[in-house]
Amino acid sequence: MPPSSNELLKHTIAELGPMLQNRRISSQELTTACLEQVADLNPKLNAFITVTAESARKEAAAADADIRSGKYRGPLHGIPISIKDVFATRGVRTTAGSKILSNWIPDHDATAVARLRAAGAVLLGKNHMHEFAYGVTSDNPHYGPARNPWDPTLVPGGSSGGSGIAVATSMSFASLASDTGGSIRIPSAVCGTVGLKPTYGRVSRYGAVPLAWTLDHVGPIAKSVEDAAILLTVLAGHDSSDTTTSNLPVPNYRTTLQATARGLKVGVPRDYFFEHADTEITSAVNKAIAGLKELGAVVVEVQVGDLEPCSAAEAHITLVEATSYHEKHMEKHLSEYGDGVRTDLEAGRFLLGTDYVKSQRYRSHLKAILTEVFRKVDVVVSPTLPAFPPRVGEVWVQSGDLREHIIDAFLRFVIPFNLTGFPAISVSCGFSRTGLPIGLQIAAAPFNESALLKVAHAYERSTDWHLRYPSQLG
Amino acid sequence: MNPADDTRNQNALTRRDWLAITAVSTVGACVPSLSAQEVSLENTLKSMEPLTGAVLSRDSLASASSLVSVIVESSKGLRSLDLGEIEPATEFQAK
Repeated sequence: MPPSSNELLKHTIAELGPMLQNRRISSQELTTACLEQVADLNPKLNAFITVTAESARKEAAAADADIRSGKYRGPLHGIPISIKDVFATRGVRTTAGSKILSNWIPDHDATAVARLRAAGAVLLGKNHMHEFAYGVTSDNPHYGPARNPWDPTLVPGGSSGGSGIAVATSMSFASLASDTGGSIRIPSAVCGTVGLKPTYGRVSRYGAVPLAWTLDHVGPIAKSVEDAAILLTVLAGHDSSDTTTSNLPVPNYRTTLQATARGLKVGVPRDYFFEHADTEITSAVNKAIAGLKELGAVVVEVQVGDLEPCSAAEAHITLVEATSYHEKHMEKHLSEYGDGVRTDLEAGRFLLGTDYVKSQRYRSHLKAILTEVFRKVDVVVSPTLPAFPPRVGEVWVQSGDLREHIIDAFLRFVIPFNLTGFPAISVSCGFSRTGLPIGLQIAAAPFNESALLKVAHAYERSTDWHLRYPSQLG
Repeated sequence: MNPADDTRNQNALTRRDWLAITAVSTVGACVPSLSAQEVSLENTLKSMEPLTGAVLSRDSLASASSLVSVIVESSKGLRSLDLGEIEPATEFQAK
């Protein structure tokens, strides 16, 4: 008996690939199931700004025809995925969550989008996001708030909120997203998905509307670590359109995964990364660390020192670079920005050049600190976030003993890896008493995504957190 | 309750606090009155209009100057850091 739509939606890309290749299921069945899920859930959760149902069906039919004639391209062929609306998508409205670009229909694909198309993925549509990726709530004044799939009264995190929602609820099987100040890892931790920010230069940024060139990264949000590995293998590699991309060869990240963490050294930086955090979160992360030990990892405490200047460094780099990019829009369209983003952009004109350069020098300093840490360990682990998400429209959170603004809270543990460009992933490591996901962040040295994915995969396979679905899925 | 009034278990007001305050209230109505430093900064920002070419509205000027003030205030740790001869970071060199 063929699987029902509901059963199909619960699979990962890794599981679906052989089913498609062997023609046990079709891309059209998968795409129909996803589109029905979108029709059912998107009005409530607002995960998509644009749904490309007609073209998705055509792409699915073409994928099925290719597979039937023996032209199977690989594990993404025929898989329905979605794209954060920050990426230029040929022929498809690309808004970057803004009013200013609300009618922009690019004549080209971002490189990452082009690579997904070449791999045979079916594009379902463009995911909702915080305006111009400039925030962490996905509460968008132009397209409405995106809503947390585990509790729709709460925010889903951001800026890739729509991507996190879509994958958590199987509206799509994965989403291409971006991360400047945690925008892949934050919604992944909040929505209970896997979110991978690769090394800076591992995946091309060409065609993604910039927020801050120094800090922007491109990566996948997926249902499992294995799926993230599959996507990274497709996305990664040098791109002549993005001169910051590396010529380092791209391994098949999926084949490096293993079920054990034996032989891997896991560093725990208790200074900074465990301070001022909700005790349910730290408790879950500590249990995850114990779990890694049981899987054979050698767990050691490491010192990273005082990372307090990270917040100021991020503020200077993001505000100044974002304003520099947006100057052309600000001249004629200032009133079309949302209030929060407009204030940030205006303030970016007036920060001191010397403070901006000091922030760039601080990045070098931080890289040296973390490089030394990664001489001793393969990965470091921490909570992804110190607090749970607030209600839509609210901006204060309780991070253990500290009441703070959501931006300060949600950036605190993720931003060191944007400042340095070191790769980091968020995977689920438990749930709160009220049923909200908790994220475990795992980071590694530059271009050592293999170690990061190995540890993440081994941990994930030893638990069932990734198998839980929001109740809307049924 | 104005978040700025709540000092229980709260770190020093950060830049984002000002975003939150100004996003939900009208300037002059609920925002705490500006300190002398902030007024001076607001005047400085206003005087830079010929340089930047940007003429900010009264409300925008107030919120932008408040945000700049808080960012500068919260950057003391960064500014006091002695980084010796460390140069600005570049992206990873392609290998």
